[in-house]
Amino acid sequence: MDDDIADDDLQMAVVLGARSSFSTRRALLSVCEGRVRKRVGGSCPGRRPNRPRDFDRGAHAILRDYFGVDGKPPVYGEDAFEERFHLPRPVFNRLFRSICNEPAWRRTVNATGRPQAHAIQNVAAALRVLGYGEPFDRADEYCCLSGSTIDMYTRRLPHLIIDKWAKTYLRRPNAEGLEHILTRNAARGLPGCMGFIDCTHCTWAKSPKALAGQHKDRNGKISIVIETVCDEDLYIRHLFVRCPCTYNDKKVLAASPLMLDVIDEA
Amino acid sequence: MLFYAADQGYPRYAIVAHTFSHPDTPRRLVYNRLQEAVRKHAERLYAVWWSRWFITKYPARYMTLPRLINTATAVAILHNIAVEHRRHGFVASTRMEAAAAVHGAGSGRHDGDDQGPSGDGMAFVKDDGPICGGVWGASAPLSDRKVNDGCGCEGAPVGTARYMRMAETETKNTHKRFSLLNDFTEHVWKDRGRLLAPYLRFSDVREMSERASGAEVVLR
Repeated sequence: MDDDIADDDLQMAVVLGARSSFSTRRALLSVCEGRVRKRVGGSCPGRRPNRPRDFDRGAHAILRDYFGVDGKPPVYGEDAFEERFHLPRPVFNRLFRSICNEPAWRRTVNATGRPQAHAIQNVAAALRVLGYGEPFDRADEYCCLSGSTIDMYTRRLPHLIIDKWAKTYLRRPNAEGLEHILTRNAARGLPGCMGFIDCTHCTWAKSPKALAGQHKDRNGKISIVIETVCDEDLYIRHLFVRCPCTYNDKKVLAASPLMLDVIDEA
Repeated sequence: MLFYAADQGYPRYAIVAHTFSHPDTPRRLVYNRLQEAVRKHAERLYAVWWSRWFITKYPARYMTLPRLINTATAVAILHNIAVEHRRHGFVASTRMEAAAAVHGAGSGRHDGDDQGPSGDGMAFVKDDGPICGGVWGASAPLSDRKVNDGCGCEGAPVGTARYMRMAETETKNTHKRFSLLNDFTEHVWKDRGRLLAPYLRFSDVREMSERASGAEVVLR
């Protein structure tokens, strides 16, 4: 009984603290911007109230299924983990460690004082959308997040990954790295080969009408060209996604920054 | 001269090494076979990528182009991290090792990563930076780039418009491409037994190893 009371007090303290910081931040923001932010939908009187989602249940389900809670082993093993999250477990752990303390991802308290979703729910839902290509509200029942929230986090995840890792994992090789690539390819019989270049088209199903004519390929589909340079481990050395599908490989090569790099380095 | 291995859709530049479109000699056939075998990973990449990250195959949820580009880039980064995590288990490495073991040539792995397989959970202890330092190395400042000898660009300093003009001419030189391809054909023909071994069927490799002069038998 005492523990329950202590827990309640603790929760109340957390909520009050979060509320005060929220209102302070709101006031600061409105002072800095010199205006009050425009109201976007949200909780207006007379509108549909938020659904009473049990965020703890969603987080508990994910933890129970893939990480194990209360000393029990997880329901699904390593294979299922990799199949569902589309990442090996160490890579997921690394991603989650870098995300879980970001202000945009960690657990917050909203204006009414209710604690919001856990970071693990946000990451899991965003990865589901990216991996399976499913609709945003598909994971609503499992992760207990609304479709618009998942949309928001699917938008934030690429920004975070690019900010954090693009300089490390998607950059041009320097002299030392180039030497390494050349050694590997020379062992395979092509000395001087910097990589294997190829283009492909990816269908853009919901493209805006204004861009439809520009992005129509020879089959009448609306798509976008992806140009990559990879090595034999499928490590992507160069990625260029921008050209409309009316371009052929030659035009994409002429438009891509790869050619500038080559000319710069040659 | 450095180059990229490509298919027939690319322009005839010196920076791009194609296959021969009508191979009429055994040497050109052998070169085509090797180039296609080595380059097939570029085709395989998309299959792997799209089976793993389906959103890139049909980005139906995205109305704006920047969002599509961002998503594709982020997915490529995640793919790269996952590849780095398990690069030693891939077909490309296991085939090379198997062929080298059968052939008795060298120690097997020709890659420079000597840190061993990183399949255990201890791999990502630090938060950023790749685990295989040999793959990337430290980033070099711009001023450290050297002008290649024999490139015809020695007259101009790096970064000037004149240098870039010369380098572009050099890169798109069609005659150099012919000499490059011919050199390659000779190079591959001389060492064809060893180079093509990873891409043959296993029975072929075994038969090859049973004979003493294996290198002469292949592709006669």
